[in-house]
Amino acid sequence: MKKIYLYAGIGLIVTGLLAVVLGFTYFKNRGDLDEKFFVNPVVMPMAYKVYGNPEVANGKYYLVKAVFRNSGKGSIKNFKISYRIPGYIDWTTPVTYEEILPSQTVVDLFYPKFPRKILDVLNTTPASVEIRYTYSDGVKNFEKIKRKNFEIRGRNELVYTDMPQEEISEIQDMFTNVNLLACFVTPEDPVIKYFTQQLQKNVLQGTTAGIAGGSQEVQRFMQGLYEFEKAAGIVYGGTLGLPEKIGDKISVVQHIRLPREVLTGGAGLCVELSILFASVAESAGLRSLIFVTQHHAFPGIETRDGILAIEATGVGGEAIGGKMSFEQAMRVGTENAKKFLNGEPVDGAMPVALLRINNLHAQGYRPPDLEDDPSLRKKIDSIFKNLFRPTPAQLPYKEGQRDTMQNNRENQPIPTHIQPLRYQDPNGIFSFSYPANWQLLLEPIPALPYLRLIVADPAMSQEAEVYYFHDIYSPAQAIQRLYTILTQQLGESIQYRPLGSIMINGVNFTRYTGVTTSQGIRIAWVAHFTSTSQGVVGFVLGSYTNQLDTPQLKLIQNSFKVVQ
Amino acid sequence: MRKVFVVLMLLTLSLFAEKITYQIDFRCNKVGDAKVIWKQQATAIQWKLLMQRYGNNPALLKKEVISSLPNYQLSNFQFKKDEMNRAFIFSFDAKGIVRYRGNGIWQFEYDKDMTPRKINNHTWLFSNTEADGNFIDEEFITLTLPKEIKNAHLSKNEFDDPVLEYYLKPSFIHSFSLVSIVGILLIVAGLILILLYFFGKKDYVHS
Repeated sequence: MKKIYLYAGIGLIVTGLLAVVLGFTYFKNRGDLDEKFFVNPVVMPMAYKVYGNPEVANGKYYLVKAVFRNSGKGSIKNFKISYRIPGYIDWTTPVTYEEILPSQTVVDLFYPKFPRKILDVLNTTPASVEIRYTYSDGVKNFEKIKRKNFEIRGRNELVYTDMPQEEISEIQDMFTNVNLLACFVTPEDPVIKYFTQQLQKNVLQGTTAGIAGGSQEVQRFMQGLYEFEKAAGIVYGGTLGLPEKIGDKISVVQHIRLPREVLTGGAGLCVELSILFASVAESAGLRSLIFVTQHHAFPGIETRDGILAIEATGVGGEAIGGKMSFEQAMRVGTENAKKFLNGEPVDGAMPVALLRINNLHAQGYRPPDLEDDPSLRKKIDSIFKNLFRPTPAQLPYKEGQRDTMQNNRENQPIPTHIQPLRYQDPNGIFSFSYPANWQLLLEPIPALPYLRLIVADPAMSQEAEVYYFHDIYSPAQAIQRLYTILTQQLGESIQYRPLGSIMINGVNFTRYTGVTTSQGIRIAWVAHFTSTSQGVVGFVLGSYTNQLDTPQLKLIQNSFKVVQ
Repeated sequence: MRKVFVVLMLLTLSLFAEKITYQIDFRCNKVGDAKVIWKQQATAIQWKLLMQRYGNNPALLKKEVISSLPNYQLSNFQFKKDEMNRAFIFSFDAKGIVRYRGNGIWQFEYDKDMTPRKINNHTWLFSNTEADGNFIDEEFITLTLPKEIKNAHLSKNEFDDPVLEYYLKPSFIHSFSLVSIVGILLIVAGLILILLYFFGKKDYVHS
């Protein structure tokens, strides 16, 4: 009887050993992988550097989020995952997770490093991402490949939001990708760099704006760029520059021209003009800003003294009824910036985001590498050549500049053989002598009230004009005001440059020299302005024969007196 | 773990010139998942702004958190507010916050700007202070690990990123399948029977 115990015991042990062996092999607890993939449905080529950088925005711009959970009773071992985007990215080096325990979850994110050729996509193009993962469930090995489609948008397209329409509940939801606008600001674009250099050389004649210049120098830079855009005929072209409601559908995709395209194409939307402005400013070493509201964008520059903002669409066009002067554009920009920073609506549109371009670039919102284009450089050269003949310069002078050759002539005596007459301003502000045979005309141009009088020689080969600006207190502003009126209202074409300063009868005059062309007639001139307690007073000596140092003109210059 | 809620606070309270302190608890389990609990007490102005933004639309807070924490799988969001005390509790589950490297070694990756401090053997505090414009933002994250862990210490992973590393041997129970357990029971039963045979009462044969 007891022998039964022995045989049964042996039988149970043998069976048990067999069961244990099978339990650790074929019937081993296996891992069981549940997977879930989230694929970004859209990729914007201009932001290709953002997609490849997991540090940007806490890693928000992944293409694939793969979530794996081991719902089995055994471990998953040697899990490896890699990705591919056919045509762009070959299989990536696998990421390995040594072991995924039962109930454990792993999350893997794919940040694709697209090659530059993605910028060749001009229209929405379908693409796909493939996900390959291998693992062992403890008994068997597995290899799986999953594929999911997505879209590569056209190079110039910006999708303002990545939120589905049913999730959009407020304005900010429509602009979740607004920071990607920084990717369209291209200060390193060889074409923009070239343009900036030409602007600094030909228009600004050197600038310290990006290095140590204060607000005044920065403003001079802004004026140079703005005036160039106006003179070059770059206009505001298009409808609203930002997403808008069309019927009952909200349009959240915008086609944005690159700065080089706006520059050479001659037109831009508000956001494009702002991006161009920011690109050139950044290229010059300035810290640019773009104010974005619901329906508008305008640029600014951050200086050590504060923010200078400008209405970039002031360059005008049929769409907005004409051009703004630089001062007007600055005024509008400043007012709008103030409202924006206070959280108030700007022209009925709520503020959305203030983009500090330099900061965004440092955070990884970097623009793509664009190739140089010699044809665009030639186009820029041609624009400059057409604007500046014979001598380039269209802006207030750089402070401290002097012309020593002219200054050496300041003490020449009045020639004695000319019989002068003396003119005294009725208000006692100024007086001067002029040749007796010259003609005097008082307030000859009603459209130019600052022009008090003209004296001209009988042959009409030379003349002098006297100006009084009662509402301006700086020579720089005076010449600028004059320039604006003469070009915009009287249709004259003017080029000028600073010429240092000169002492005349104990008063310091700031000088400018230039050329004015009107109806085919060309006159060279030298202007002299000085600040007084009652405004700016000055005179302009002009010659139709390029002879600006005749005795007659010298008489007027050396005899000019101003009551300070 | 990234600087989790900096983005949220900037969005919500950036208009005010003041200091903002917030405390978040991460309570980790044995498989590297965590329950995240954010308790916030607010001043009157802060409360007004928070309620304007999230009070009637806590789903907005959920969207923002999901967007700012792509490295984790988030679920089970809950938002409770205590109007009388101007406080709220926002909680959610975050899966995959600690990575298992095999052989019982776990690594919790944290942002290099955070300052870690050991509270006790299984509790660590990570803190960070940032000044942005007009306000100062203080973030304190308490990480509570399972009590069974050993040797939690600061280290670096293979890419020189800072990690908190600890040892927690996986449960060996899962290594045993039902069949192997049955097999072991059979072996034990067999051994008992053999022992009974050798040491049990003997039957006498009467001659």
